[in-house]
Amino acid sequence: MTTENWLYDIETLRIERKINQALFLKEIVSDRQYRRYLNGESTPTLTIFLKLLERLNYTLPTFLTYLETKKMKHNQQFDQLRFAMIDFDYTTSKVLIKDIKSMQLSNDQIETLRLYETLIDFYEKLGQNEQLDKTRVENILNETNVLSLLNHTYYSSSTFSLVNLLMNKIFNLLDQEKQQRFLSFYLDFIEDRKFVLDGDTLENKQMVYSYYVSAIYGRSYISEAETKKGGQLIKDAILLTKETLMSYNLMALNYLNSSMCYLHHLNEDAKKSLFYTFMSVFGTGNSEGILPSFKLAFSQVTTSQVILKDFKDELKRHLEKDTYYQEEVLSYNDLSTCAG
Amino acid sequence: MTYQHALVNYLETYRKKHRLTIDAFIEDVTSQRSYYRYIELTQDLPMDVLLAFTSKYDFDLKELLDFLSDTPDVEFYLAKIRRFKRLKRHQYIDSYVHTIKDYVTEDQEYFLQSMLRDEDPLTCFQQYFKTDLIDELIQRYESGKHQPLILEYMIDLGATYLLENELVLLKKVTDFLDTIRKQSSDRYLDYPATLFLAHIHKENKQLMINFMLSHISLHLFFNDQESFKSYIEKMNLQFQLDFPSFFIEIIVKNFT
Repeated sequence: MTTENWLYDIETLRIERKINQALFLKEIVSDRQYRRYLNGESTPTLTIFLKLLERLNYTLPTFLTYLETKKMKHNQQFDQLRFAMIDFDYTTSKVLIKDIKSMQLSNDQIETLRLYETLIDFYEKLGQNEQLDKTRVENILNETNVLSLLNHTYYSSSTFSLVNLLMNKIFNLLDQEKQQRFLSFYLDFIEDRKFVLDGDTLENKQMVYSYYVSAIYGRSYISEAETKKGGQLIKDAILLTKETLMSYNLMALNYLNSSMCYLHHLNEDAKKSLFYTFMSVFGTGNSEGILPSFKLAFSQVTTSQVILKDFKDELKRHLEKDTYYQEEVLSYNDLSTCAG
Repeated sequence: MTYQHALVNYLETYRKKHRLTIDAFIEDVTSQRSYYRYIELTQDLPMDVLLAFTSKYDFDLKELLDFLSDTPDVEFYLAKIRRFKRLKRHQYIDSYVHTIKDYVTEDQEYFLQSMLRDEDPLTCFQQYFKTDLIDELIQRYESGKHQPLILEYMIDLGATYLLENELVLLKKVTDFLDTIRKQSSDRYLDYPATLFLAHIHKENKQLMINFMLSHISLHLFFNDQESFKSYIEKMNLQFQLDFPSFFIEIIVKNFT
């Protein structure tokens, strides 16, 4: 990101719109000075830059959106890769990585590709050797510097997403002290000590709730107070989706609710949430990629036979009776009965 | 408050929160004398200094500006109002109207009032954008302007073309929405897009079924008005298929 590049984009837009240069610069800056800006011999002030943008009918945020959109077109495959990684769809991820490697990439993109490859490799070898798994987690922590990222106050959404992606992939293998650091990280957002700068405030709140709850229930030891708080936040976060429309979060939240209910033998709520978990998996369009992870995850709390039966029963219920999701959520158990 | 005023306020707050001395904060960016002039607003902030700060402290400039902006993004809220009207989740609309009421232009006010009166959404959009040409809308989207509102317009156009069986136009809208949804974290877009995709790929049964399974599942979460039971019956009839059996087939395959 340099001023010179931005001015070049401004100049391209001016030419595209066939605006006469003298008219474009009138009462803002001289032709000569403008050429010096374009050649990188001088830098405009913020005021001049904003005036030039105004002549093109842009504000700074809309101009930056224009640049982002332009960049996005070039980075379409990279975005697909990001979503495939979030979906645990490593087969697609590997194909995309191979394609992307033949493209011209920025240093940041090269770094991200390297991280994705490390995570894929990590997952493919996971469980073969417990000691080795721990060493590789340490390597990921060192390479990504993620623990030092946890100490900031302000986060851009891309940095926040990076922390979330890593937390999701390696959390269970961290020692108690490091798990606690992730928990404190999310709690700091909930209690307004940390902030995500961009994006929709409500969506950010929902993500923080979801990741905090995942972090609570991802540990081997959960206190009574945490069980209660986590349960309440699950319900709050699910209710928030009525406005945020974040269906991926529903998948994670319903899974957490379901597995906690199975664990505590709250079978009616467990199977309701199980059904909604799977329906949100279908919603992604990648059920084949995601379901194996859930098979593994649910095996900790119940059997495949129970899952099959509960899913079929629930589907039957929804096909025989008029049901409405938001109404059902209101009557969810908030897990507070599990405390203790 | 001007951009510069907002930006230097932000920089100063950040510096103090992190207990950085001015010298440490501005190191490799600018001189102390210049920095004081910027914060006192006696000198214009050069663009390269602004970019150097954002780069040094890992701020994304657009995000920073959005965060600092006192003015709500009116079109973002207008788009939300249209979306929540479509979803019939009326309880949120009042607060969106309240957020933007002091900032709307004359055209936006007219558009808003037409929507609130439940006038035909396509007419509202057409009057606002002065066009219903898909190519022109895509071009405007790519120019970075009106993006949230154009997305909602495209969804309404797609629904209309589907109803009128205008498959060529539907394909154009669907191609656009399909590209955008793949780059976006806005998962609501999957709901209309998968229905449009299923209709376009009717000839390819497996592909069509996959899109419909996704669409029907999302219906559960995105439509409070029509029950799952009633919707699935309608879709079974329309496509002459038994969609519930496909859900079971996939779960059985993965859990046995």
